[in-house]
Amino acid sequence: MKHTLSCLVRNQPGVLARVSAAFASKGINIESLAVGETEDTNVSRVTIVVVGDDRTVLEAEEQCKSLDVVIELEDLASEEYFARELLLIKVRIRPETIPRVMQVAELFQARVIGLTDRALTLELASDHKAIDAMLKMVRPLGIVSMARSGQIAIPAGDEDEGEMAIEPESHPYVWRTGRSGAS
Amino acid sequence: MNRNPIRTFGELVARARRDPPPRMVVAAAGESAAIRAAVAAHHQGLIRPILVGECERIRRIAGQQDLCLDGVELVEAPDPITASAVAVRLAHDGEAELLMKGLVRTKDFLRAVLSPEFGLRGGGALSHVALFESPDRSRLILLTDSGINIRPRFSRKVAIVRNAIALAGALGIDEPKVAVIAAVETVELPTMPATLDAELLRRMAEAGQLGRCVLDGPLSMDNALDRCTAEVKGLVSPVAGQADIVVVPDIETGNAVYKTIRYVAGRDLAGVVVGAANPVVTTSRSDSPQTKLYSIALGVLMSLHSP
Repeated sequence: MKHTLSCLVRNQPGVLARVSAAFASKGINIESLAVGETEDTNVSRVTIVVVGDDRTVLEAEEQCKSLDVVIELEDLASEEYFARELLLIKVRIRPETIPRVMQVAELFQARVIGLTDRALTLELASDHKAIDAMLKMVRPLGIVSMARSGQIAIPAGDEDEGEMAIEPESHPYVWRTGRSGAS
Repeated sequence: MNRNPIRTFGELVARARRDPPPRMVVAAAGESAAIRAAVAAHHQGLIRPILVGECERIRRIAGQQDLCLDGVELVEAPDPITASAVAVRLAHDGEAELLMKGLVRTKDFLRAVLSPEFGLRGGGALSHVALFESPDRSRLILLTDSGINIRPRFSRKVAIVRNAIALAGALGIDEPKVAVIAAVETVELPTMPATLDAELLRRMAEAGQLGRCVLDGPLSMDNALDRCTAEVKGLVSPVAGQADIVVVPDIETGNAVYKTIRYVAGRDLAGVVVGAANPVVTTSRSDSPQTKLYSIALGVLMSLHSP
């Protein structure tokens, strides 16, 4: 089963390798991993998409949570969330395929951000299903090159103020359970 | 048949005359502007009118306006939506060669035109083409689309260009010069998507994908229409200053250009909806009698070239 994990970590060198290792040690392949700063520059959000049986993934999650650099880890399968991925793709064009390429771009509301003699560069920010669907449609037309950002995700509902993982102005971090985070 | 390009509205009316004239059915004809336009075109020998609407009302208005209904066929329909359906069905069944909108909302009228059961779908997209005379009145210029497609996507623009090229053919312009309008002459991404569409259309035309035409874009309006401007700006283009067809990026631009020609330059225009199985004349009540007459003549000419 596919799991989308949202993980808040301390923004410091080596964190990503340690988080990845927690999954690798359980033999879980990471399908995508995207990391970026949050509203607090000391904290990064890592969105990890993994495929594996629920029990093994849960074990990896627990191992990950035990790392001192991990502030919070949520499996977003248990709640509604917004997920987006960015695709940049260069599609080959010939005069006779231009309408088809543009039709696909319009269908998925992809933006055309570049044009050369032989290719159009499209940008699409959407959920991974839409991106997969668009790729399926442009593949027969000829993909020159492409890059996917990996999925980023955020819970859809309100954050619970009483259970905020990160105090707005203060550190060290506090676990949802109230346990003091390691500094 | 005279295949020289038609250069003026006077020539357009003259070349549209046939014996017998084609039949034009008017949907929801219960208003003076529609009756007057149909009767005027009838007297000019352009059409044989069929007016669909409340017959009693049509007769009363014609009487008040001193309009003679001799030779005009009346068909009863109680309301504008029914009148549209009846009129479209008459054209669909071959009882009329062209169709004109009367006092009915455009969306109700077009719904009948596009009816899968009895409509006039021509296999392609509908678009509006307006026609105006060049400033020196030496030729006619087609403007599209100022009336149907609001913000056409690329594939729709391909259809709009093809429709305009077909109409140009009916006007005797066998290889029209097509200018795809934008604000600048270079592709600006992602800020000016109209420039991208223009460039892609140019590539398709160059490869013969759009039929017989010479197309260039993106071009600004001054470069498209005025050769001196293009020369001053050093623009090298087979279309610059000689555009037969001007393709605008969206309806706001088209509508503004149309009304600027009408109300600032004080010139008449003609307009017709193309892409349906039969030409469709959709004049506005505010259009001048001349514009209505020229529009009908344009529709007639188009009907003569319909497959």
